[in-house]
Amino acid sequence: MEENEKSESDQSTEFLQLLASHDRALSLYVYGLVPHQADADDILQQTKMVMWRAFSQFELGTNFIAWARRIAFHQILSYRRKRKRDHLPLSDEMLDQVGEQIAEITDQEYQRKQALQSCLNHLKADHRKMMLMRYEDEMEVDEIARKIHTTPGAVYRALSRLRLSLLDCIRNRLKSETSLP
Amino acid sequence: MKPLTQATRARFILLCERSRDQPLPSSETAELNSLLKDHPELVKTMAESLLIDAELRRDPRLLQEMKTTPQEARGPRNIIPIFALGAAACLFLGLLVFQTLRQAETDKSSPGVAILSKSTNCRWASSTIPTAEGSHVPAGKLELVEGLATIVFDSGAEISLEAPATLEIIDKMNARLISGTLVADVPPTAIGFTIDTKDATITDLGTRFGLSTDEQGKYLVQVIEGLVEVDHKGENNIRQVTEGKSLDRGLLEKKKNPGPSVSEPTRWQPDPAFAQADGWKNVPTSFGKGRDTYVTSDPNQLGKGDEPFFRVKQTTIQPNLVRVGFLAFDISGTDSAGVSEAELILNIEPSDLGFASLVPDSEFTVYGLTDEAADNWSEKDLKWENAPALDPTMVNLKTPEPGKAVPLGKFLVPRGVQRGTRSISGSALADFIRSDTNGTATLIIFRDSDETAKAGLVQAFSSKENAVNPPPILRMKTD
Repeated sequence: MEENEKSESDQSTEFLQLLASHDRALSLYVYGLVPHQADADDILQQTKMVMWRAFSQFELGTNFIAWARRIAFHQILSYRRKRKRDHLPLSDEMLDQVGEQIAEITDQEYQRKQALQSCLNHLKADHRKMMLMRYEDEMEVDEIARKIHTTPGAVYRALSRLRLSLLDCIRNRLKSETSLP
Repeated sequence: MKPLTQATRARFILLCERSRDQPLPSSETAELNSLLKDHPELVKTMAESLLIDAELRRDPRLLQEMKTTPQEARGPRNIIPIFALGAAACLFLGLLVFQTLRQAETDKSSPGVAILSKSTNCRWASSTIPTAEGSHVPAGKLELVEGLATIVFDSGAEISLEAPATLEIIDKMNARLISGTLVADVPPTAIGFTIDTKDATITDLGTRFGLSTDEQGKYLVQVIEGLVEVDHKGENNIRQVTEGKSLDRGLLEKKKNPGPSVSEPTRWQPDPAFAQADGWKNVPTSFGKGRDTYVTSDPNQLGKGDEPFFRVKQTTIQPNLVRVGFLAFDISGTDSAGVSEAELILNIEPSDLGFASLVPDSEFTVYGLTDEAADNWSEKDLKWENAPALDPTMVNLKTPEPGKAVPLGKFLVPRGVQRGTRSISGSALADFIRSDTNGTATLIIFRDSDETAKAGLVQAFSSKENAVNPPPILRMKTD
């Protein structure tokens, strides 16, 4: 609103701008590696605080999101040690590799979210119901099993079939997208 | 390397799925890790699977859209990046959704679409919907006469409305700003939130931005964080406004340069240096050699002595936009040595410049100029470098130079308040008047409170050129 756009941005504006433009990539990284939502939010929060404290060491012009993910990864590791809880049953090294993959996919496949949306829209009625129970109502597998009168084992199988079909659908969508002239 | 069969892949996904809820038994943990080691391509599969999870948790709209999309979709849909369609299409889709919602709403006797979550010093006029704090309001019009109100839409979008303003709530993703100023905070859940003005449609792509408009259609968009798209109606050109940037269509010029006051005075004019029977005497800045103006910490700006108000602002975010008020009172006709009590009265004016939401409750300090040689400053050519008691090097932008001025008192203007009067009194002010030897008392007004983001409100107080409100007045009691 002010008349002068001389952009005397100080450090905090600079930081907030960078954070805002990489917010999605950073949260996908943390959410991906930490399936437990409350823990993921804590870690994300903690990561941003560490980033802010260490921002003076960040060299402008270098890769901000890569720097942010490194900090987030170390927060995840220290969370694992402190709480003695492994969010994913992986070694630190394997977790890092999966994180690298998440980063690579997020940075390269911009259409992935649209592809996911399209695939979700094509799910059959029973799969839709399953997705909603799992992600919208955040129901535990036991609860879902009770609700649809089956066993937890059967729910896990149904969920993994659903997951596979989404994975394949997204891959196909992205492939047909990139093969367009 | 072993070939990856479909069955192995399915087994791997099943293990991943199970591990999300509870720790796997150690045998299965070992199995999962050895699968990853034997089939490196599963690292990518796992990452893709985790990303589906992450996307779904991060953006509930994915499932919302799934729910509203009819099943048995006709053939594979085109994958069109939703937001690449631009604001015009968003508006079009928005309208369709809006129509559908309207249809649904008529059956449900207009349910609420937003919550009026907080109101600070608010006064409402002719609003068509409830204005009590905490109301879950349906679509309708809100007219805010005074204060600052926060409206949280069911989509998660949050609007701080700054009086005077008129806003029409259309649904949880759409609103229309008829006139006035707002700051919108749009979380990822509400990306695509749209605000209409008379001449433009502003679509938010996950951000914080300020918007001002008037009924003639002039508008100003200032993006504080993130990105918005502005579709100026009738122009086939959608503009993106990025962080820290603003787009002005005629409004800022009007606000910055209100020009000298031209209308006939309509207010009661205090008699120059009017002496009351009880021993009090009022001296406005319009009396005698009185002056009132402000300086800006921008080397290119001269004094603005002919404006109907003077502006005061503190900011460490844009150090060239600090503003300091200067008042001179002609007390030559007063027996200053005999003054026992004194009071300074200021009138708050809506300054229309900057966003009130970005400034907390503001504290101001009034200083008295002790360097009497500098009392003869002129409204016309006062600027920061030659202003009495200011640091000409502009290193110190927060207080006068030590030894040249003394603090006389403080006053507070709460967040969102743009009307009312403020005064300071007390022995420091009376002492300062008594110590005068040249018949002129210069007062300097600093805001102590900083803004929280660029483009915070600039407070203003009426000056002697104001046609409606009284100028600054110095009241003195002599025994």
